[in-house]
Amino acid sequence: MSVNVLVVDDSSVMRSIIVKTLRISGLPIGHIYQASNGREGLDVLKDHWIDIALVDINMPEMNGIEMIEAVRKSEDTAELPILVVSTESSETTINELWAKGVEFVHKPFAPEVLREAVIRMTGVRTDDGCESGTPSDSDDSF
Amino acid sequence: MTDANQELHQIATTVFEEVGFLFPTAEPQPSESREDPLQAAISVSFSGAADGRLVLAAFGSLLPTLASNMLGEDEPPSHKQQEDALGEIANIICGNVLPKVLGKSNVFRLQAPQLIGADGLSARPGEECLAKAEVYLEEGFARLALFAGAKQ
Repeated sequence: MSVNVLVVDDSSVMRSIIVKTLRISGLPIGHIYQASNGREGLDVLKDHWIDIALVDINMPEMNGIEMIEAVRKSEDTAELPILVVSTESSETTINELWAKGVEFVHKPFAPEVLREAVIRMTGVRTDDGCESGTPSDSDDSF
Repeated sequence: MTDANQELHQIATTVFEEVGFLFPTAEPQPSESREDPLQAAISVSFSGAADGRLVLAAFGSLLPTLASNMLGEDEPPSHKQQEDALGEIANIICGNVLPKVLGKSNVFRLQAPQLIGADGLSARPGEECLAKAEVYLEEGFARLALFAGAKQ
């Protein structure tokens, strides 16, 4: 089983860091789709099967919280695992995010932290665990 | 060094280390003289419990190494990529320093990082400097300031 990932962040540099982190994680990663704001992220979700979305909070046009709310309202995506990857440090905002059923990785993050969160949220097996996975080398940019 | 200055210095040092793989040098080296030219400066504006901006200026030859390290590319990143890399560093520093300096239960909305000129490095009329720091790194140095008070 490989997992398709959606990375939503307005910083192309941060998207590159996340994509590289996933590619070298040893996890069986399938396609990695990219979007630069929540609106583009929702468009990707309409057209592609996504196993987990990694979403920033502060973005132009549609921010991460607005995107998460839209995802949770849609019958098709209500159960989508969402990992917020953000600099957000406000306890108030983080508690609100937890209430929306998402997990949180704080920037800056160690690669292992991102990897462990993806494993925990998708149930994907790793090559240092029980089953091997071969990362795909294809990236689909939005 | 005040508590706020110390927080800003500590957070900036950590972000340069963990995201940019650039490590601090304790004392300025001859090549890190304050006469080094300004390479680029970024402003991250925020609003919410307080309005203000974090300014990050890079001096020396930080940018190419920073961007190469962040992107993991062998080829030299474009100038745009270098500025984007500095912008992301500023964004992460800003997001981490605001709760430390202005309260961890407060909510802030960060705007996208903006490239600014040298004239944007100082406090504007009505702004108060909450914290400032300089971080000396292997490839140059970074100067940071956190301003609050003026509407963006």
